[in-house]
Formats: sequence, C-alpha cells, structure tokens
Amino acid sequence: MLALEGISKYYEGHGAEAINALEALSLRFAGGSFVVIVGSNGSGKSTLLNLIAGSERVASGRILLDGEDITAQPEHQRAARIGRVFQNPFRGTVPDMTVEENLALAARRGRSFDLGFALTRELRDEIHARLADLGIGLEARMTQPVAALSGGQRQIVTMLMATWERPRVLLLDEHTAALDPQSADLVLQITGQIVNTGNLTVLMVTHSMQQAVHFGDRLVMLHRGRLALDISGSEKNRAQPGELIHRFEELRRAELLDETVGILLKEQYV
Amino acid sequence: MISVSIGALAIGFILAPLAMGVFLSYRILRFPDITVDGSFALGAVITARMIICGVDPVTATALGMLGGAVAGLVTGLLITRFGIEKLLAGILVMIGLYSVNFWILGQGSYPYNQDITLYTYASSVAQTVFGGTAMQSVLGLSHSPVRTVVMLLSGVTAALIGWLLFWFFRTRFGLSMRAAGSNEQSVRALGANVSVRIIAALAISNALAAFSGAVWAQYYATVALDEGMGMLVVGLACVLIGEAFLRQRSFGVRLFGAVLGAAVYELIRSYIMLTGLAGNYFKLITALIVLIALLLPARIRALRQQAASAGGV
Repeated sequence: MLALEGISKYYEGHGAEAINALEALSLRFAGGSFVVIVGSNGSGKSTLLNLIAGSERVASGRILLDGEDITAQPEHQRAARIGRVFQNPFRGTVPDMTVEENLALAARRGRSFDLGFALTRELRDEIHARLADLGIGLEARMTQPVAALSGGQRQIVTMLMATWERPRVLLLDEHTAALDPQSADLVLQITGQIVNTGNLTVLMVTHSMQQAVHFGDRLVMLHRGRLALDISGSEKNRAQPGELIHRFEELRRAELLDETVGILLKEQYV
Repeated sequence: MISVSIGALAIGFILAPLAMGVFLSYRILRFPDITVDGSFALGAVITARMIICGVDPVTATALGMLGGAVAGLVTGLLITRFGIEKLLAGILVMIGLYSVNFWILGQGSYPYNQDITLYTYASSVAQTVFGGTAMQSVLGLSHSPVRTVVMLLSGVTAALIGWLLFWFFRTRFGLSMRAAGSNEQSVRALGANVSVRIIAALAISNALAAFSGAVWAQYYATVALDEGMGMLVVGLACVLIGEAFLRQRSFGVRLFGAVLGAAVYELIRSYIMLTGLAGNYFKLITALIVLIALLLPARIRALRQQAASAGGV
C-alpha cells in the first residue's frame, strides 16, 4: 500500500511567482494494483514519480509505504522497495557493462556491495533462467555489452533490473515513449508479464490514450497538479480513448476561458 | 640493444601501476585526474623521508603509497562533497601537493647515496643470482644484472597489481564502481552511494601513481619535487597505446593493456633517446603520442566509412 497524504511541490518560476507542480494531492494505491497516470505536459505526472522515488522532496505532505513514513528518506534508501524505469533507455542501464553484469548489480539492490564475487555461478544460472522466461532470446546475449542492444531490449533489461529484487512499487515513467511502435508493443507485453507476478504496485505514466485504456485496473488523470479524474473497475474498463481525449479538451477549454476572462478584466481595469 | 630494452622494460613496469591508476580515472571515472602528477612525487618524497629516518624501504614505499591514497581522497572529497569541477579539483590538489612535497622533503631534491632502498635489495638479488652487478654476457647477450632483476621484480609486481585490480573489478563493489563512473543515476537507483565510489576510485588511482613514483625515485637514486610533472600524460599515453592493441577486448583485458602500453611506451622512448635527443624534448613527443592515439581511431573509422560508401557506389 502506497499512500500520498496531501503532498505539494512548488518550483521557482520566472520572477517571484512560484509554480505549483502538485497541490495537496492525496491518493492511495493498494498493493498489487496497476495504475495508469495520464495528464498533459506540466500536469505534475513526472513530479509525482520523482517525489515517490525520492529524487525530489515534497514541500509539504507525507508519503507512506506499507504504513511507514518514507517522506524524509533519500532516493538510495527507498531504492530497495521502489524500482523505476525511465523514458530514456540509456538511463537505467550501464551501457559499457554486459547484460549479466548489469543484472548482477540489480541483484544487490538495496543491499551492500561488498567484496564478494559479483557473478557467481548460481546468479549466472538465475539470470539465464529469468532472461529465458521472457522468451525473446536475451539469454543468448548475456555477455554482450548493453550498448549492443536495441532500445526496446534495453528497456526490458532495465525493467528486469528494476524488479529483480521484487520491490513493493514499480514506477514506469513513459517507458515506451522513446521506442518505435513494434518495440513499444514488445516492452508493454513484457511489462504485463513482469507486473503479473507478485503483489507489486505499478504506477505507469503514459502519453498514449490507447495504453491508458488497455492497461491497468485504475486510471488517474492529473491536471495542473490536481486530480482531474480517478476511475477504476468497470468504469475504467468501459473507458474509450476518445472519451479521455474529450476530457482533456474540456479541461483545456475551461482554462482558455479563464485566461480570456483574465485578459478582459485586464483590458477594463488596467 | 638488449641491455637498453631490458632497462626500458624495467622502467615501463615501474610506470605500469601509474598507467593502471590513470586507467581508473580516465576510463572508469571518465576524466583525466591530474592529481597523479602530485601524488607521483608525493609517493617519492614520503618514501625518501621515511628511508632517511631509517624505515626499511618496503614499509617506506607502502607509506608513500598511502600518502597517494590520501591525495586521491582529497580530490574525491572536493568533487563529491564540495561540488568542485573534476578537472579543477585535480589541478588544485596537484598544485597544493607541490608545497606539501617540499615541506616533507625539506629541500628541492634528495639523492639516495648511502641509503638502503629497493634498488639496494635488487642489487643484492642480482649479486646472488648472477654472481655480480657489472655488465655481463649471458648466451652471448650482454646485460646489466641489476636492470634484469629490476625488470623481473617490477614486472611481477605490475602483474600482481593488475591481477588484484582485475579481481577487484569482478567483485560487487568493483562492479558498482565501474557503474558509478558510467551512469550515476543507475547506481543511485540501486541504493548505492555514488560519492563513496568516486572517492575510492581516486584513492586507488593515486595510491598506484604514488607507488610508481616511489619506486621510480629509488631506481634513479634521486628524489626531485618536479618528477611528477607530466606523469598524467605519460599514463594516458600508456593507456592509449595499450588500447591500440586491445581495443575490442573486455574490460579486464584492457586493464592489463595499460601494463603492455607502459612497456611499449618505454621501449619507444628508449630508442628515441638513443638518437641523442635531449630528455626535455620527449615531453612534446609524449603529448604527440597521446594526441595521435586520441585522433587516430576516429580518422580510421571515417576512412573505413569512406571506403565502404565508395565501394557501395
């Protein structure tokens, strides 16, 4: 169970004005749930993931993981229980190290990196088995540098690294956005395979309305740092991409109206 | 010629730890750490001070090495704790070390005359094995017994250090150190501290440079404050020459490439010196070797591409 209790985050804007990235957002994610998060640029999606991962700190509010307050924990302390995959396939892996070396590092996530031999025979066997389970032939490329893999393959290795030690939460930050459609499909398919194992809470940020309706059991839409839509169960299953886009347009129109009113007021009074 | 080559290999193997140290900063942390210029001399002056105080040369050299590790630690702290730019941090520590070295040695240079050094040990080994230290002929080839002993001992030492590093980089900590130099974000995501790994890498790198400096000074029987000048570039030349032979190989093999590179570098240097060129001109030649080694791979790739596209038409 991951709980966000009234978390806020501000950034320095141009001038004295602070920009609200997130405003008193409260959400609870049950263990084992697969939540899709959508929202336009600047809606606070990425900020939300950064705050959960600990790469940024909240201005106010609390973050609880399985009842424990982790608000003050730095990123590397949370890493044992929170895995993350970024949009950029180059961010999650070490390119000049081999696939098995990368996974050997992941196998020590959140534990000490001591002077024990990194790639023991048992670990190598386990890496081989888990790669073979994916069914895309990566087990034959264990000793190749990750740099030699395609973007999609790299994301799959990153995903395996992020979930190797069975974290409580997996953050997917538009992890297919930089891939060609075919690779994106493959990565999503593997995402499904990995996610279905264990009591893992998955938060997937995406720009694709197709992904948003076809994946997950709950859909959260953010707008300007606030919750705009939160549907799950049968309501989520009925949702169509068109409806979501319609909902986006509505939000944008409401905003345009606000701005027009502002300009009118300015013209009359300034 | 054989005698010259053996002498060159002896010096090459003495410089091999420095080359492996530069490999650590340049290839793992991905920046050339010029602290080694200072720690090369630091290792020599600490060792000299200890030997003058009557400490045995092995312990003295080990203490010199420790001094180098501290210098690397300081550079590492400047980078990670105080956010100083990597190159600048190295430059600051290098310059600062010049005064520290002068303070430790108490004079600009010191000749090992009557002192017991590692060279004294090598001489007595040569005396035992070859029955003398004067030039002699073995199988029709003339050689200097002491040089031969130094070459063998420093070669074994370099191989031992290389093997230790090779083993170290296959451990979990070593692997995470490599990762920290390549992709900091991924290491943080694993719950590991990047700063600790940068500091540790620089400490090891500079300890190796200090070791080379200490042995180098004992071999030449002179400790000089400016002996570290340009040693980063020498180390780079060794690393790049080694990679020219072993570019496509795995990480561990490229690490040993630094030893090979040091040997080849010194062979090149000794043969150029035979032509009567003054030693000071060799700094320019070293700089050119590094420049060529840096530019050549890209040029070769461009030429290959040209050839390929010309062939395609």
